[in-house]
Amino acid sequence: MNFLSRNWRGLLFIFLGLFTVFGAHYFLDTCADAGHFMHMGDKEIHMGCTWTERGVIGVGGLVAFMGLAMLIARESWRGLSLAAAGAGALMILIPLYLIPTCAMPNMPCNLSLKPGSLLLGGLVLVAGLISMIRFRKLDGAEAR
Amino acid sequence: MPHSKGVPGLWRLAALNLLRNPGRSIAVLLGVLLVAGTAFAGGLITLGVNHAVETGLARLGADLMVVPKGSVDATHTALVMGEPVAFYMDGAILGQVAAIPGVRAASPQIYVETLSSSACCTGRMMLVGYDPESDFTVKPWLRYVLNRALDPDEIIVGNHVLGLTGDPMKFYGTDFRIAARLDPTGMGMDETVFLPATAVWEMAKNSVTLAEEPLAIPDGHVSAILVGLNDPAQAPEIARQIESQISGVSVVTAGQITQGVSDDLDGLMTYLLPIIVGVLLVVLVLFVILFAAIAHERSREIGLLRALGATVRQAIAALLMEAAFMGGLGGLAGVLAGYAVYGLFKTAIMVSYTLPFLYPNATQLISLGVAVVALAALGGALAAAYPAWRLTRLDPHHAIHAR
Amino acid sequence: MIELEKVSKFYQTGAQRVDALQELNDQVEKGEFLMVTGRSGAGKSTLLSLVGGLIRPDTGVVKVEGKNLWAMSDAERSQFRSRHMGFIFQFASLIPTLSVLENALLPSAFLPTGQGGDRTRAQELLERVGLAGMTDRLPWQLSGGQQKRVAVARALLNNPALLLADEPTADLDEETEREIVSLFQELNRNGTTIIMVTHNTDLIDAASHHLILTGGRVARVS
Repeated sequence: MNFLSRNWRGLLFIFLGLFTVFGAHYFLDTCADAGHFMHMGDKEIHMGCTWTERGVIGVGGLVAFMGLAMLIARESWRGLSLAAAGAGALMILIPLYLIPTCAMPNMPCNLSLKPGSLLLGGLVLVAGLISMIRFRKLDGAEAR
Repeated sequence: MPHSKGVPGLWRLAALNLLRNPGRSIAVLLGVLLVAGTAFAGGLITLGVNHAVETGLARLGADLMVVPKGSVDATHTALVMGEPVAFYMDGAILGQVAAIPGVRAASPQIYVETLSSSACCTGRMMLVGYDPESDFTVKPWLRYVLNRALDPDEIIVGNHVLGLTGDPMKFYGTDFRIAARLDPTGMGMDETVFLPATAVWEMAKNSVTLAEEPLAIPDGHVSAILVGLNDPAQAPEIARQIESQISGVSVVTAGQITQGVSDDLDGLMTYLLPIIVGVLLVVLVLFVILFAAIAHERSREIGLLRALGATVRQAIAALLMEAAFMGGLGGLAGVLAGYAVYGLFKTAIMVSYTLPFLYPNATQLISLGVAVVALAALGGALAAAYPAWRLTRLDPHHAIHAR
Repeated sequence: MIELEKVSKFYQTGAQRVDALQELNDQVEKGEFLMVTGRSGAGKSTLLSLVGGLIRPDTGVVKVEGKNLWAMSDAERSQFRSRHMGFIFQFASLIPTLSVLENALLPSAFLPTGQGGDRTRAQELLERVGLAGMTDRLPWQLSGGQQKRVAVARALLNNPALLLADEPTADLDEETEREIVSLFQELNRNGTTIIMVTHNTDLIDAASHHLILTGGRVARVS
């Protein structure tokens, strides 16, 4: 058993988590990224989607942290996998209900950040559920 | 097979074989998923764009649009994407247009760009003023959703415009109420607010005192004249007549709009097609290598099946079924993934390529999915055909005793 | 039952020609239990494959039940094989993804529809080889001896008149070996013709006839 096949769960979630953090920060646009702000007097105020992005980035960080936990506490792999699936569900719920993006369907956040978060959340959710399964070839007798 | 229960049919054998080396199967499935997903999304975009243009043009109901010279491109984006535009000409030419032989109906419309809203998240919208007297494009579906004429302060909104029936909306200082909402078209109309032309002129007059920025539309000025023809096939000919008889105007035909959209679609497909072809080649090579390896690995087992009474044809079929099964499964996963991912990024794609989109009906959608899955299965079987054919050249004795 | 007329088979290994069997003439009568011995490379497996129609002779004619195997089409020969012959090989030859019962039923998958797949018979056969209650297991959950017994049950499914066994008891412990050979003897008493290849000269007495292969030539010992 080499390092990769022994630690595939932890590495997978560290990757997915970091991918979410950097993807949401650098590649997925919010309205503010596209230069749209609300105006109150002469002050520029961020629209709701800025907070959506921060929420998603936070959950992405948590997913990466869970991956790290899987490397350290390997015997807890099944519970951590389930928790990661829950974090994936959270990444779906944030842009939809918890910290909703802007109201107009064609605003930048609804074109980029929202679908991107849903996709990443779906990936993490599915990966979490799959990771709960014990694979005879990959896991050998170690994981029980 | 109508055998008694428990007899392992060739299909079951093929399906179970995928579990032998799950890692390898998953890698190949992911490849197929990628190809099938992109192909499905490409097909879906093509179907959906065509559907949207047909629906949109059918609802527009006009064969020609007469607009001020130089406004053809702006008209295209306005119709397809709902980008607000503002161009005006004297509405007096309506009579001249209506008098041209072959013209069944002609009606003016006024396009107004709303002010950028200071509230969160409502962008700019397009207002369309129409003439209830001569109108033949708005009324048909206005009656369908409303069954009465509009009050002076009432508006009809496109599907994507926010607000409920009865909600107030303010444009250039004048208050309006939402009277009805339209079905989605996938085109610019979804972002459009409709109101009578007289209300637009009234609003323009009052905007000088009521609005932050006044709206400068002289009484009687219009943006476009929509023209219905007796024979739509005559559109290009009558368009030329109008342009030569009336100075300062250009004519947009429904055909030109369809053509413009199809050009934009080609632009998108130029990106998509090389990806599909490239990944397809990689996956095909992957398949050939995989099944060459499988045929080699299992030569003993295939020899055994032959000894148990399988004919050459059945032995080949077993391998081809496995390949077809793998291709079909990857194809199915690809169709589902393609549908989901496309659904998420649909609006972003449509906005960046100025394409209208409406989901095609279920029959078309399912046929497209089935076609992609069938092609993936067929492709898999074809890729495995060569290694399988080589097996026929090996007699069972050597297959069984091969190292 | 089986007639071999001037049957030769050679293999090409690089530039070298290896004669596996040279102008072999022999007859196996119905109801015989023939044990074939000989050193490695003497052509024992090749002989079995020739009789089973798994390999084409370079010269000569192979007839089973009066029929020339190589005058048939591939489909006819395959049908003939699944109706009249049962094979057992030295290697564990079970399909790893199928259950024990499914493995035993495999030969019926290639018969024309409605002519096989007798689940009860498969279960009876598995019971007879001592695998009752293991029918739902997968091959990797069985020992080597148990796997070999599944292969025996499988070979008997279509009730073949001729059983061809290529070192069926190699790698098995002595007890299992004895069990399998006595099962063969019982089958033979019930009329099954058996040709069995073996290394183990201790087993020769179990058979009615003995054939020694040396250098591609044959010698019958009674």
